[in-house]
Amino acid sequence: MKTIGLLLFRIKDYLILTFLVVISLLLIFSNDNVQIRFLRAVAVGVVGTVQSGMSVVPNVFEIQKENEFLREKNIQLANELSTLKEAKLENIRLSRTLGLKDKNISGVIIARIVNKSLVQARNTITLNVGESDSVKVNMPVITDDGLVGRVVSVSKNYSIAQILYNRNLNVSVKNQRSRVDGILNYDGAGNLVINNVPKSADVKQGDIIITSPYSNYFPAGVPVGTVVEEGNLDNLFKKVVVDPSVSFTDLEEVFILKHLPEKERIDLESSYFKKDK
Amino acid sequence: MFFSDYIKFALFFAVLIFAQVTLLNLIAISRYNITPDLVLLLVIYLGISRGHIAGMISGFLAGLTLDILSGSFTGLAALSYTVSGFVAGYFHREPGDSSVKFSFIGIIFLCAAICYIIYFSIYFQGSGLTIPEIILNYVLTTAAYTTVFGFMSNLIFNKFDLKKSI
Repeated sequence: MKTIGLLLFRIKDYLILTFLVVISLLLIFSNDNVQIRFLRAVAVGVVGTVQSGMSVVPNVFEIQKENEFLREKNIQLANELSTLKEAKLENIRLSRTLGLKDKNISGVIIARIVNKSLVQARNTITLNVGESDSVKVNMPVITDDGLVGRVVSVSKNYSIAQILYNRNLNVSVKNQRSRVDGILNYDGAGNLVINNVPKSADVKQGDIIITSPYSNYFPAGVPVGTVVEEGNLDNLFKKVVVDPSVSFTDLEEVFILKHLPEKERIDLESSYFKKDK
Repeated sequence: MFFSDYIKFALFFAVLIFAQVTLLNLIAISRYNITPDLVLLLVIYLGISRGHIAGMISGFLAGLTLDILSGSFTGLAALSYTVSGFVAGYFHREPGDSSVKFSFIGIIFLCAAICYIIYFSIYFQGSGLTIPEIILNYVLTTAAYTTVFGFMSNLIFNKFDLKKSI
């Protein structure tokens, strides 16, 4: 302590000089005249040049810090991008869905698929709407592309629908071009087929298959798929393979049509066939 | 220094600052209005006779007073007079000190030149004047004019033995 005191005493002249010079400089730079503005500009230029020169030398710690910051930012932006992509796709899907709604198809319930199976013989989808949304058993399920299936079970807030790839679902269909009728079902091996089509029937690859007016469950004219293959079944009939209009693998939203079988028609047909037997 | 010395020097400074601000313009020379700096002469004298600290502090206070009175560039005269007073302190010799002594006139010229290099090099920033122009037209002429006055003051003070009074 004494040594420091002695040292300070020895250099007191320089300390006082420094003090007075600093005060003078502070006073000088408190002025706002041409000279000081010029000096400030020069000082800024000099500092800028020095900093520019120093920037060539990389600061390892700064780079590491910046790197961490950029990585975090990258992850954050990647998440944002993913969310935005998802939102964009959803927007496209919903726009298409709304487009379908605009086609004056009255009485539709929009539903989101919450579960689905595609690899079994009896595939179904679970929807996030149920009795509370006026969903009933046997209502058809469609998208803007075409037929999806039919509601087979309903709870308060959920429902299950059989899709075309379900062996229990038979759909009465018609060839849109040649008006040939048939029953479409799933063969359990990955194909939608129309069996028992007369060999002489006019069916060609590329023909569009729609629901038939004979169907009790589905409104007529809903696209079902396109003929991709036709082959002989036996001497009298041939088998027609249909590619569905709906892409079931990326299906996320569907419409449930408030269309129920006509009870009077069903009752009449049932009673007649019972009598006939 | 005794308290009466402070009073005496303060009065001297007051008189010289008053003369510097009001009367010295009457004896300005050259088209650049060069005037001798009587205040600086006293600062240098204090530096030589009393040392660094007296030179610096008197230079700072006198310079600051001139800055305030001129109202143009606060702190500039304070800075240049402080440095000049500090440099003058290097030529201070205690009584009986047998080391080399320098010419009073030379010291005045050196200190005045240092003072005005600092003063004018800042004062003329951004004016377009080059450093040689500033040194030739302002620094050396003012320093020389002040030195002449210092020489005359030295003669007068020696002749009438006025040094003892300050």
